Amino acid sequence: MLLVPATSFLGIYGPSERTLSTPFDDYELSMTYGSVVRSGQAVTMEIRLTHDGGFDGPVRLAFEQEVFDRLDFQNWYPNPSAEIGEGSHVVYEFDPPTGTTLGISLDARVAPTQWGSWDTHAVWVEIDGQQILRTDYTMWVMP
Amino acid sequence: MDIVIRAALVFVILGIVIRITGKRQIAQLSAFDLILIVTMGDLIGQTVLQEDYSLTAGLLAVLTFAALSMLVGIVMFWLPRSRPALRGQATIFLRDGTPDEEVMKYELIHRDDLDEAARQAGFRDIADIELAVMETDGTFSFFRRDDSSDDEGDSSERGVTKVK
Repeated sequence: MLLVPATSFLGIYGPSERTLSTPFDDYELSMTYGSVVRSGQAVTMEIRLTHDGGFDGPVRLAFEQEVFDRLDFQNWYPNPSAEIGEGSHVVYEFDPPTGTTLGISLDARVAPTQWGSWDTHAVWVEIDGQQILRTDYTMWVMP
Repeated sequence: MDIVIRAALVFVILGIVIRITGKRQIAQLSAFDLILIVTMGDLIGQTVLQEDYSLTAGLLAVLTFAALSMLVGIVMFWLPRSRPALRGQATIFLRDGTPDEEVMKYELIHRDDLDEAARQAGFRDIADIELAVMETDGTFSFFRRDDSSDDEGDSSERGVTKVK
Protein backbone atom coordinates (compact mmCIF):
# COMPACT_ATOMS: atom_id res chain seq x y z
CA MET A 1 0.00 0.00 0.00
CA LEU A 2 2.90 2.32 0.74
CA LEU A 3 4.68 1.31 -2.43
CA VAL A 4 2.43 3.17 -4.89
CA PRO A 5 2.47 6.56 -3.10
CA ALA A 6 6.20 6.16 -2.41
CA THR A 7 7.08 5.39 -6.02
CA SER A 8 5.13 8.45 -7.17
CA PHE A 9 8.12 10.48 -5.97
CA LEU A 10 10.12 8.87 -8.78
CA GLY A 11 7.78 10.61 -11.21
CA ILE A 12 6.65 7.43 -12.91
CA TYR A 13 2.96 8.30 -12.71
CA GLY A 14 3.53 11.73 -14.20
CA PRO A 15 3.21 14.46 -14.96
CA SER A 16 6.67 14.64 -16.43
CA GLU A 17 8.16 16.30 -19.47
CA ARG A 18 10.94 15.65 -21.91
CA THR A 19 12.91 17.71 -24.39
CA LEU A 20 13.83 16.50 -27.86
CA SER A 21 16.21 18.29 -30.15
CA THR A 22 16.50 17.65 -33.87
CA PRO A 23 19.17 19.48 -35.89
CA PHE A 24 19.22 19.64 -39.68
CA ASP A 25 21.59 21.87 -41.67
CA ASP A 26 21.26 25.36 -40.22
CA TYR A 27 18.01 24.51 -38.50
CA GLU A 28 17.33 23.05 -35.10
CA LEU A 29 13.94 22.03 -33.80
CA SER A 30 13.70 21.73 -30.04
CA MET A 31 10.54 20.51 -28.41
CA THR A 32 9.62 20.18 -24.74
CA TYR A 33 6.48 18.17 -24.21
CA GLY A 34 4.58 16.22 -21.59
CA SER A 35 5.92 12.69 -21.88
CA VAL A 36 3.76 11.29 -19.06
CA VAL A 37 0.48 13.11 -18.62
CA ARG A 38 -2.84 12.64 -16.87
CA SER A 39 -6.41 13.52 -17.84
CA GLY A 40 -7.49 17.07 -17.15
CA GLN A 41 -4.05 18.38 -16.34
CA ALA A 42 -2.19 21.12 -18.16
CA VAL A 43 0.40 19.73 -20.53
CA THR A 44 3.66 21.32 -21.58
CA MET A 45 4.36 21.88 -25.25
CA GLU A 46 7.05 24.36 -26.16
CA ILE A 47 8.64 24.44 -29.56
CA ARG A 48 11.74 26.39 -30.52
CA LEU A 49 12.89 26.53 -34.10
CA THR A 50 16.29 28.06 -34.66
CA HIS A 51 17.81 29.04 -37.97
CA ASP A 52 21.24 30.64 -38.09
CA GLY A 53 20.26 32.99 -40.88
CA GLY A 54 16.87 33.95 -39.50
CA PHE A 55 13.58 33.51 -41.34
CA ASP A 56 12.54 35.22 -44.55
CA GLY A 57 8.95 34.07 -44.71
CA PRO A 58 6.22 32.39 -42.64
CA VAL A 59 7.07 29.24 -40.72
CA ARG A 60 4.71 26.32 -40.82
CA LEU A 61 4.38 23.74 -38.06
CA ALA A 62 2.36 20.61 -38.75
CA PHE A 63 0.69 18.45 -36.13
CA GLU A 64 -0.94 15.09 -36.62
CA GLN A 65 -4.70 15.10 -36.29
CA GLU A 66 -4.57 12.45 -33.55
CA VAL A 67 -2.98 14.92 -31.15
CA PHE A 68 -6.24 16.85 -31.15
CA ASP A 69 -7.99 13.80 -29.72
CA ARG A 70 -5.45 13.64 -26.91
CA LEU A 71 -5.27 17.31 -25.99
CA ASP A 72 -7.70 20.18 -25.60
CA PHE A 73 -5.92 23.05 -27.32
CA GLN A 74 -6.67 26.39 -25.70
CA ASN A 75 -4.28 28.88 -27.21
CA TRP A 76 -0.96 29.31 -28.94
CA TYR A 77 1.58 31.90 -27.86
CA PRO A 78 2.11 33.60 -30.23
CA ASN A 79 -1.08 32.95 -32.14
CA PRO A 80 -0.60 31.50 -35.63
CA SER A 81 -1.43 33.76 -38.54
CA ALA A 82 -3.17 30.91 -40.36
CA GLU A 83 -4.41 27.35 -39.84
CA ILE A 84 -4.76 24.87 -42.63
CA GLY A 85 -6.37 21.44 -42.34
CA GLU A 86 -4.59 18.88 -44.47
CA GLY A 87 -6.61 15.76 -43.74
CA SER A 88 -4.39 13.70 -41.48
CA HIS A 89 -2.64 16.76 -40.05
CA VAL A 90 -3.15 20.44 -39.29
CA VAL A 91 -0.64 23.07 -40.35
CA TYR A 92 -0.18 26.23 -38.28
CA GLU A 93 1.48 29.13 -39.99
CA PHE A 94 3.47 31.59 -37.88
CA ASP A 95 4.86 34.98 -38.81
CA PRO A 96 8.65 34.95 -38.99
CA PRO A 97 10.47 36.21 -35.87
CA THR A 98 12.84 39.15 -36.09
CA GLY A 99 15.71 37.08 -34.67
CA THR A 100 16.99 33.62 -35.36
CA THR A 101 14.61 31.72 -33.08
CA LEU A 102 10.89 31.17 -33.28
CA GLY A 103 9.53 30.20 -29.88
CA ILE A 104 6.01 28.81 -29.61
CA SER A 105 4.10 27.69 -26.53
CA LEU A 106 0.87 25.79 -26.50
CA ASP A 107 -1.62 26.21 -23.71
CA ALA A 108 -3.35 22.83 -23.62
CA ARG A 109 -4.83 20.27 -21.29
CA VAL A 110 -5.09 16.55 -21.60
CA ALA A 111 -8.62 15.69 -22.71
CA PRO A 112 -10.47 14.40 -19.64
CA THR A 113 -12.55 11.60 -21.14
CA GLN A 114 -9.80 9.35 -22.44
CA TRP A 115 -8.45 6.11 -21.07
CA GLY A 116 -4.77 5.39 -20.83
CA SER A 117 -2.71 5.32 -24.02
CA TRP A 118 0.84 5.22 -25.27
CA ASP A 119 1.11 6.87 -28.66
CA THR A 120 3.81 8.33 -30.83
CA HIS A 121 3.01 11.50 -32.75
CA ALA A 122 4.98 13.70 -35.09
CA VAL A 123 5.51 17.40 -35.52
CA TRP A 124 7.32 18.77 -38.51
CA VAL A 125 8.40 22.10 -39.92
CA GLU A 126 7.58 23.28 -43.41
CA ILE A 127 9.37 26.18 -45.00
CA ASP A 128 8.45 27.30 -48.48
CA GLY A 129 6.16 24.30 -48.75
CA GLN A 130 8.88 21.80 -47.94
CA GLN A 131 9.18 19.58 -44.88
CA ILE A 132 12.66 20.28 -43.52
CA LEU A 133 12.52 18.87 -39.99
CA ARG A 134 10.48 16.23 -38.25
CA THR A 135 10.37 15.07 -34.65
CA ASP A 136 8.55 12.03 -33.36
CA TYR A 137 7.51 12.17 -29.73
CA THR A 138 5.79 9.65 -27.51
CA MET A 139 3.13 10.74 -25.08
CA TRP A 140 1.95 8.42 -22.35
CA VAL A 141 -1.50 9.31 -21.07
CA MET A 142 -1.96 7.61 -17.71
CA PRO A 143 -5.31 5.88 -17.18
CA MET B 1 3.86 13.18 -6.55
CA ASP B 2 1.98 16.44 -5.92
CA ILE B 3 -1.21 14.49 -5.23
CA VAL B 4 0.53 12.37 -2.59
CA ILE B 5 1.87 15.52 -0.89
CA ARG B 6 -1.52 17.24 -1.00
CA ALA B 7 -3.29 14.11 0.28
CA ALA B 8 -0.78 13.78 3.14
CA LEU B 9 -1.20 17.43 4.12
CA VAL B 10 -4.99 17.15 4.01
CA PHE B 11 -4.81 13.97 6.12
CA VAL B 12 -2.79 15.80 8.79
CA ILE B 13 -5.06 18.87 8.66
CA LEU B 14 -8.17 16.71 8.95
CA GLY B 15 -6.64 14.80 11.84
CA ILE B 16 -5.97 18.07 13.66
CA VAL B 17 -9.46 19.43 12.86
CA ILE B 18 -11.13 16.30 14.20
CA ARG B 19 -9.00 16.36 17.36
CA ILE B 20 -9.82 20.05 17.89
CA THR B 21 -13.56 19.80 17.21
CA GLY B 22 -13.77 17.17 19.88
CA LYS B 23 -14.88 13.63 20.33
CA ARG B 24 -18.54 14.53 20.28
CA GLN B 25 -18.34 15.38 16.58
CA ILE B 26 -17.31 11.87 15.71
CA ALA B 27 -20.14 9.92 17.24
CA GLN B 28 -23.02 12.37 17.37
CA LEU B 29 -23.75 14.32 14.25
CA SER B 30 -26.03 17.32 14.36
CA ALA B 31 -27.42 18.78 11.13
CA PHE B 32 -24.56 21.30 11.07
CA ASP B 33 -21.95 18.59 11.58
CA LEU B 34 -23.44 16.65 8.68
CA ILE B 35 -23.23 19.73 6.45
CA LEU B 36 -19.62 20.23 7.55
CA ILE B 37 -18.68 16.63 6.78
CA VAL B 38 -20.41 16.49 3.39
CA THR B 39 -18.94 19.84 2.36
CA MET B 40 -15.55 18.88 3.72
CA GLY B 41 -15.53 15.74 1.58
CA ASP B 42 -16.17 17.77 -1.54
CA LEU B 43 -13.59 20.40 -0.64
CA ILE B 44 -11.01 17.74 0.13
CA GLY B 45 -11.63 16.09 -3.22
CA GLN B 46 -11.00 19.36 -5.02
CA THR B 47 -7.98 20.20 -2.91
CA VAL B 48 -6.28 16.86 -3.38
CA LEU B 49 -7.17 16.05 -6.98
CA GLN B 50 -7.70 19.57 -8.34
CA GLU B 51 -8.35 19.13 -12.08
CA ASP B 52 -6.83 15.70 -12.39
CA TYR B 53 -9.54 13.32 -13.58
CA SER B 54 -7.36 10.26 -14.04
CA LEU B 55 -7.78 6.93 -12.32
CA THR B 56 -4.10 7.16 -11.36
CA ALA B 57 -4.75 10.32 -9.36
CA GLY B 58 -7.70 8.80 -7.52
CA LEU B 59 -5.69 5.69 -6.76
CA LEU B 60 -2.75 7.71 -5.45
CA ALA B 61 -5.00 9.79 -3.19
CA VAL B 62 -6.87 6.79 -1.79
CA LEU B 63 -3.70 4.80 -1.19
CA THR B 64 -2.02 7.76 0.47
CA PHE B 65 -4.93 8.17 2.89
CA ALA B 66 -5.04 4.42 3.54
CA ALA B 67 -1.26 4.17 4.04
CA LEU B 68 -1.20 7.12 6.45
CA SER B 69 -4.13 5.71 8.37
CA MET B 70 -2.25 2.40 8.65
CA LEU B 71 0.90 4.26 9.68
CA VAL B 72 -0.97 6.03 12.50
CA GLY B 73 -2.22 2.62 13.68
CA ILE B 74 1.33 1.23 13.66
CA VAL B 75 2.67 4.25 15.54
CA MET B 76 -0.07 3.97 18.18
CA PHE B 77 0.65 0.27 18.62
CA TRP B 78 4.43 0.51 18.94
CA LEU B 79 4.57 3.88 20.67
CA PRO B 80 1.78 3.82 23.27
CA ARG B 81 2.79 7.26 24.49
CA SER B 82 1.58 8.69 21.20
CA ARG B 83 -1.95 7.37 21.73
CA PRO B 84 -3.34 10.33 23.71
CA ALA B 85 -2.10 12.77 21.08
CA LEU B 86 -3.22 10.71 18.10
CA ARG B 87 -6.40 9.16 19.39
CA GLY B 88 -7.36 11.23 22.41
CA GLN B 89 -8.21 10.00 25.88
CA ALA B 90 -11.35 8.66 27.45
CA THR B 91 -12.85 11.21 29.82
CA ILE B 92 -14.81 10.57 33.00
CA PHE B 93 -17.55 13.16 33.24
CA LEU B 94 -19.74 11.72 35.97
CA ARG B 95 -18.84 10.00 39.25
CA ASP B 96 -21.21 8.54 41.79
CA GLY B 97 -24.20 10.19 40.20
CA THR B 98 -22.62 13.65 40.19
CA PRO B 99 -21.73 15.22 36.83
CA ASP B 100 -18.36 16.93 36.57
CA GLU B 101 -19.42 20.30 35.20
CA GLU B 102 -15.91 21.34 34.22
CA VAL B 103 -15.30 18.22 32.15
CA MET B 104 -18.76 18.42 30.60
CA LYS B 105 -18.14 22.01 29.63
CA TYR B 106 -14.77 21.13 28.11
CA GLU B 107 -16.20 18.20 26.15
CA LEU B 108 -19.35 20.18 25.23
CA ILE B 109 -21.67 17.65 26.81
CA HIS B 110 -24.94 19.36 27.62
CA ARG B 111 -26.92 18.13 30.61
CA ASP B 112 -29.79 17.26 28.28
CA ASP B 113 -27.45 15.05 26.25
CA LEU B 114 -26.32 13.29 29.40
CA ASP B 115 -29.91 12.68 30.51
CA GLU B 116 -30.87 11.41 27.07
CA ALA B 117 -27.88 9.07 26.88
CA ALA B 118 -28.60 7.82 30.39
CA ARG B 119 -32.22 7.09 29.48
CA GLN B 120 -31.10 5.23 26.35
CA ALA B 121 -28.79 3.17 28.53
CA GLY B 122 -31.71 2.26 30.77
CA PHE B 123 -31.07 4.63 33.66
CA ARG B 124 -34.09 6.40 35.06
CA ASP B 125 -31.93 8.62 37.25
CA ILE B 126 -28.30 9.59 36.85
CA ALA B 127 -27.90 8.94 40.55
CA ASP B 128 -27.86 5.26 39.58
CA ILE B 129 -24.71 5.78 37.53
CA GLU B 130 -21.42 5.16 39.25
CA LEU B 131 -19.24 6.28 36.35
CA ALA B 132 -19.90 7.84 32.96
CA VAL B 133 -17.09 7.89 30.47
CA MET B 134 -16.78 9.57 27.12
CA GLU B 135 -14.72 7.19 25.03
CA THR B 136 -12.17 8.31 22.44
CA ASP B 137 -14.67 7.70 19.63
CA GLY B 138 -17.26 9.97 21.30
CA THR B 139 -19.53 7.25 22.64
CA PHE B 140 -20.70 7.22 26.27
CA SER B 141 -20.08 4.28 28.58
CA PHE B 142 -22.12 4.05 31.78
CA PHE B 143 -21.25 1.94 34.79
CA ARG B 144 -24.11 1.02 37.06
CA ARG B 145 -23.72 1.53 40.77
CA ASP B 146 -23.33 -1.74 42.59
CA ASP B 147 -26.03 -0.91 45.11
CA SER B 148 -28.62 -0.21 42.43
CA SER B 149 -27.84 -3.54 40.79
CA ASP B 150 -28.25 -5.26 44.11
CA ASP B 151 -31.58 -3.53 44.58
CA GLU B 152 -32.81 -4.92 41.31
CA GLY B 153 -31.43 -8.31 42.23
CA ASP B 154 -29.90 -8.87 38.84
CA SER B 155 -26.15 -9.03 38.79
CA SER B 156 -26.14 -9.37 34.97
CA GLU B 157 -27.03 -5.67 34.73
CA ARG B 158 -23.74 -4.72 36.25
CA GLY B 159 -21.03 -3.42 34.01
CA VAL B 160 -20.89 -1.17 31.06
CA THR B 161 -23.63 0.18 28.81
CA LYS B 162 -22.54 2.03 25.68
CA VAL B 163 -24.54 4.79 24.07
CA LYS B 164 -23.67 6.88 21.05
